[in-house]
Amino acid sequence: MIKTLEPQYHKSPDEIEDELLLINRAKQHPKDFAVLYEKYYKTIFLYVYRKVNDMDLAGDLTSDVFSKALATIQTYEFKGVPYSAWLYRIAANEANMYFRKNNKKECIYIDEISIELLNESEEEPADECDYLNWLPHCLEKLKEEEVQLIQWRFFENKAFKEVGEIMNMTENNAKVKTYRILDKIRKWMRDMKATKL
Amino acid sequence: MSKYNIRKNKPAPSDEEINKYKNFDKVVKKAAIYEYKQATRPIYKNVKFMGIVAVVVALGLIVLFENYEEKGINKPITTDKIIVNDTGSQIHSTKDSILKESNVTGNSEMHGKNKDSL
Repeated sequence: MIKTLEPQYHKSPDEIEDELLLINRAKQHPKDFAVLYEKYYKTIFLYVYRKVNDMDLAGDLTSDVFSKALATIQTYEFKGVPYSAWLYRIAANEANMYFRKNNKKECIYIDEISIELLNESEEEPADECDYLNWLPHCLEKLKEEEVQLIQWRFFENKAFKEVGEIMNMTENNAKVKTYRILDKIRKWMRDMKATKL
Repeated sequence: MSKYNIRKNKPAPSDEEINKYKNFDKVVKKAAIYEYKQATRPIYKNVKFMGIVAVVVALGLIVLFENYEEKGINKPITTDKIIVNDTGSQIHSTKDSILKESNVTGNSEMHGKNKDSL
């Protein structure tokens, strides 16, 4: 059976328009931000939690994310994309800032489907165990933006459209860049495999 | 030592565990503190302001160097030097430094200024 990663993109234009009304209301009365907070709390919490692997810390960072979003809501410009893209960007920055300041390791959770997809074009795919050992070294060689693209697509299972919205690029651009990065990773994996043999 | 820690299978905390950390009042308070910090931030930490300062300084330096070069000492005066043969057709054109004479030298050299008078 062929496994595929088919993330669904749920936001319809109507939903995005409704969200704009909520944002405008929150711009006038900060208390109205509570609706957006309720809507996205779980999503952002889980995203942060997967990165830091600590419930208390995830709670703190999530609260920082929303407080920054609330403090900067006046500068938010609607570009036809869901508000979650803005929140995800703040969350990614907050988490990266935490890792830099505290010199901590970032956790990346990967499922079997993602491993297969990352490994798929290989004639003789690497052992899963080897793959998990080599992947951090490959990610290390990538630029920060490249790691984020791979993370959103394969580790967070986001659709290319959403990846583009979060990373502030077009869907097509996100797709092209992701596949180029995958090619690089596969090449490095082959090299590591050859060195091992 | 890699800065990434790869693990298999995502953890899934329950809604109850997640909601334990939900506190909107805390978010509002933190936002107020963040806004205050931003408002009282020293001006030298403002990226936009420092960017404008850097551009102004760069432009100032450029203008200063331009003026310096214009007033420069020992700056060679360059003139066009055209060499013509006896029949008057041009055979060579070159730049020459510190040439103040503008008349034809010998019977075959002249400077650009006098070219038309031939």
